[in-house]
Amino acid sequence: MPKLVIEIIHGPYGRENAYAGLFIAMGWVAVGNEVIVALHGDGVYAARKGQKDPMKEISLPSVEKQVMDILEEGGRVIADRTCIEVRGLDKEMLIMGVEVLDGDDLVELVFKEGERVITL
Amino acid sequence: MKSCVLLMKLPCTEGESWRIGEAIRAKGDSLFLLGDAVAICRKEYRGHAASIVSSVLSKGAKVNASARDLRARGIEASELPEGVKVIEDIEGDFIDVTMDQADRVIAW
Amino acid sequence: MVEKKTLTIMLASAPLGSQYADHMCRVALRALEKGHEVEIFLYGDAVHAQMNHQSPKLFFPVGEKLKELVVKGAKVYSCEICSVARGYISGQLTPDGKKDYSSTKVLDGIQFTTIFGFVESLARADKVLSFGGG
Repeated sequence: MPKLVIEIIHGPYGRENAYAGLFIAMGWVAVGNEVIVALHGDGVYAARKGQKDPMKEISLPSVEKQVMDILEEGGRVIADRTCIEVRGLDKEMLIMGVEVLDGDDLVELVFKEGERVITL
Repeated sequence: MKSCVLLMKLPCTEGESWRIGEAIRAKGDSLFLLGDAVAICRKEYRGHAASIVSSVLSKGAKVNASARDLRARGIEASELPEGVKVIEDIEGDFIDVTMDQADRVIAW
Repeated sequence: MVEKKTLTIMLASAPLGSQYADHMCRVALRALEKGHEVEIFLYGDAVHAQMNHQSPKLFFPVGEKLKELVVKGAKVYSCEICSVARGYISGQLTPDGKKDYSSTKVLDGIQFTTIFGFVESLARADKVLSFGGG
């Protein structure tokens, strides 16, 4: 099965990157492929649960919903543990189904599974 | 597994430094520096990604920097550590490695 | 004789504001010159690269390079929804059920596609590169 890794290092809403990357991920899994979304740096904020009605608040589509849709389609969304911790987040604050991996392990995985890698 | 990493930006955020760290750990074999990223080559650079290039070199990986981008930014060859190659047709070399040698390629 | 492979490139930044489009064009041209197939996807703000009549004068001529890429055989796809959002095309359905991609604002040879077109391009690529968004 064709594999794709999407790496996101920018937080949602302030820049289009998270939305754009997750949009590709969703299209990719929707046709039956395997995706890993790797969140590093500020990208981990995309995995935060409780993003309340961004469309109403700031006229931007919900990144939380994108993450949930991707997980529902069988995609993997993985946040870097160090990046989570330095931001004072923990797994309980993340959307259910989002995985947390140590940075080194996430790098290994990205290279192992990264037949195709998109960076945003 | 041979990997090739292309960097085009300076690591000014932690996420980006993380990304540079990945380049170090690359099973790789080749690091290509285009655009602003050529500045991380400099021996005297003490920023977030200091000594990154020497780390990559010490692992036996190849570091290739864009001659055009170095000259445009006023960076002299003497500022670069031993082992960094300054390449005129860097895009051509990058394509050769990417398409014909590397199993993995990641571009930032 | 080098084996012909397919390189799919995503561009996510607009011309002028950064060098990403410049780097992308150079890399894509070298790939074509070396005999590879090249597919490009303009995404997000990068769709501005498709604008006709770009005249950067003192900057790298992305529009000219894109035209050259098309002439030399690259497939240049542009994100439909991003292009509609930024006013390049209406994308509305015409009476015969097709989407209206007509525009005087867009370079010849640009092909509009949904994200699924990009997904297909990604799937057939031997190698994938990502430029911009930084």
